[in-house]
Amino acid sequence: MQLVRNCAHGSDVAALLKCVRSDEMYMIKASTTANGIKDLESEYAGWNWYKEVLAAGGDDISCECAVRLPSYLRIQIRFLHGSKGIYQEGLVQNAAIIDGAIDQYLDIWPSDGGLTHLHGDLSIDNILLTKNGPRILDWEHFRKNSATWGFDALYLLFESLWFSLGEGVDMTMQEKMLIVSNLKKLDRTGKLKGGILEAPLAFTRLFIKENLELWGSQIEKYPNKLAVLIYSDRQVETIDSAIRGAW
Amino acid sequence: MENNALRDELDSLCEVDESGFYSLGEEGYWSLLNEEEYNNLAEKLETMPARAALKENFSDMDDIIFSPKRDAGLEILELTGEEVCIDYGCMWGALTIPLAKRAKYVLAIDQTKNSLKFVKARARDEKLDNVGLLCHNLKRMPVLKNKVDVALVNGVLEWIPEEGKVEIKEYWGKNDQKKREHSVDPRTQQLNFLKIVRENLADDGRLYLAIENRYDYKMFFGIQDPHSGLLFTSFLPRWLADVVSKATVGRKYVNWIYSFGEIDELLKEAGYSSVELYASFPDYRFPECIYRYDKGLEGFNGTRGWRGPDGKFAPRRVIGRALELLILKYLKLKFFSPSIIAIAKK
Repeated sequence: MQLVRNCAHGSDVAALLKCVRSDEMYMIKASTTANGIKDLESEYAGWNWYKEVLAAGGDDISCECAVRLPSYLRIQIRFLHGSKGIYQEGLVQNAAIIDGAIDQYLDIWPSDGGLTHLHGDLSIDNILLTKNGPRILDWEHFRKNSATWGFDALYLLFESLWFSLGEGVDMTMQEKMLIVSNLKKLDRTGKLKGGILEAPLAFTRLFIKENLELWGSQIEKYPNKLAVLIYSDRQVETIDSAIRGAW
Repeated sequence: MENNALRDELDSLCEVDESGFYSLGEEGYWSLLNEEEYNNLAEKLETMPARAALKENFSDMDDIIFSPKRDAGLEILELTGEEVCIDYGCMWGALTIPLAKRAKYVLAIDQTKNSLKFVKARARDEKLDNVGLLCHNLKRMPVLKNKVDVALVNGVLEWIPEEGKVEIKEYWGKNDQKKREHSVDPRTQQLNFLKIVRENLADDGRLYLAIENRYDYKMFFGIQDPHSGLLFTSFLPRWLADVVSKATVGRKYVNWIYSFGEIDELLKEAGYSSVELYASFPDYRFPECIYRYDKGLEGFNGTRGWRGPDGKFAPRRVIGRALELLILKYLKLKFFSPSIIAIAKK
């Protein structure tokens, strides 16, 4: 057993890696606080929903409750082998991962005209490329029927862009094309609410600000956890305008 | 393991004092606070939640006692909720309370009555009814043979050889230490204590022991011994540590800590059948990562940032980070890891 993360980014959850055999490993996550247990319940629900909806059956995915007591919860998630992008490299370097994740989002995320499910932290660092396709990790913010359809996909695009731009405002042509092509994919489904494409980054940021409770106490302790919140107003305006121009 | 067996044993051996604690008449004192401060705090506990009472005058200690990071090491035990446990030297209950949430029953033992009052208040605040409290000196523990599934000795072993009252502010690096008499060498005292802990374990029982590494790399760079407040004494040969200690605080060095190999040897000598060792970073109290010692430090990326909490670079911090990366990440010299966690089977 190896402790790999402890109460990271404002959470109350310890994360450990358990190696039973070289081909059988698990991520163990546990907490004794009310906030930590809530996050773990969300993660458990998220993983099990995800397993259910994956077209290939999600046989590689397993998230079980190991121990549940009144003030303690431990869950066990099968460790998935694959490769991750380097989130600090930003949008273009991670284009293949982003495209794959958004294609999966289009396949599996429900939309019946109302609200859809929320992942809450769909970022490069939470996407694994496996032999079974992309796998989305870290479901601690999962909430059923809490998000506008398309939010998580937009979040992925703009969080990745933030790592390219930093405090800058000028996207490269490649960055613009990548964002626009993925927005068009979302738009073609007919599921995106009207008006979002007028100002997609502004919408994404506003959704988070108006629904901070969905991210629980972590956001209070660690406000920069969601990079989209770091964009300045000037950046948001400029980027949305550039996207409209490139459409 | 039925917890009635441990309770039955305690009921037959001990008196119950006016605070509801088991007692064997061996009260003492060990605390970060002086007696007056602690008495004032204990009074507030009767009418206030423990955390609120602490924050009124000692808000800087909130993290030390209540941080959810403190108990991550307990996950190595993979408890099922059925275990009967003893927390030897529980102090503020930093591990007692998280352990009680994971186990069937926890007996918290401490020589300082006010510490037990604090733990009692914490259990009350968390609505935990599975915490027992024994006020007693750990060096004179009764044998509770075969009653315990898990024993916790967390930051305690190095204090076993100490005698008398310890108020850390008066004790640390000061000549107050001169007044204390020690007849038996520290290792023998620690060994005897570990033997009793082992006797109290059930046949499949385990000990969770956490302690600083004698050869923590930081000790070579002028960080004071965290127990005695002296420089270099943890890693010097014991006879030389005695010379330094006598020159500084007027008596032999007693707060013995050990290397990974020495802890393994000590536990095996106390009769434990197998020992798993873990290296904990940056220490065992607030672990960020814990590695199985025999598997090495593959993947270790450091635990110290380049910048301080204010976001600024500071020379000490930069040097500390550079040393940590050089010694532990690049040279992988696990021998110099900061802290040890040992899981020993009876």
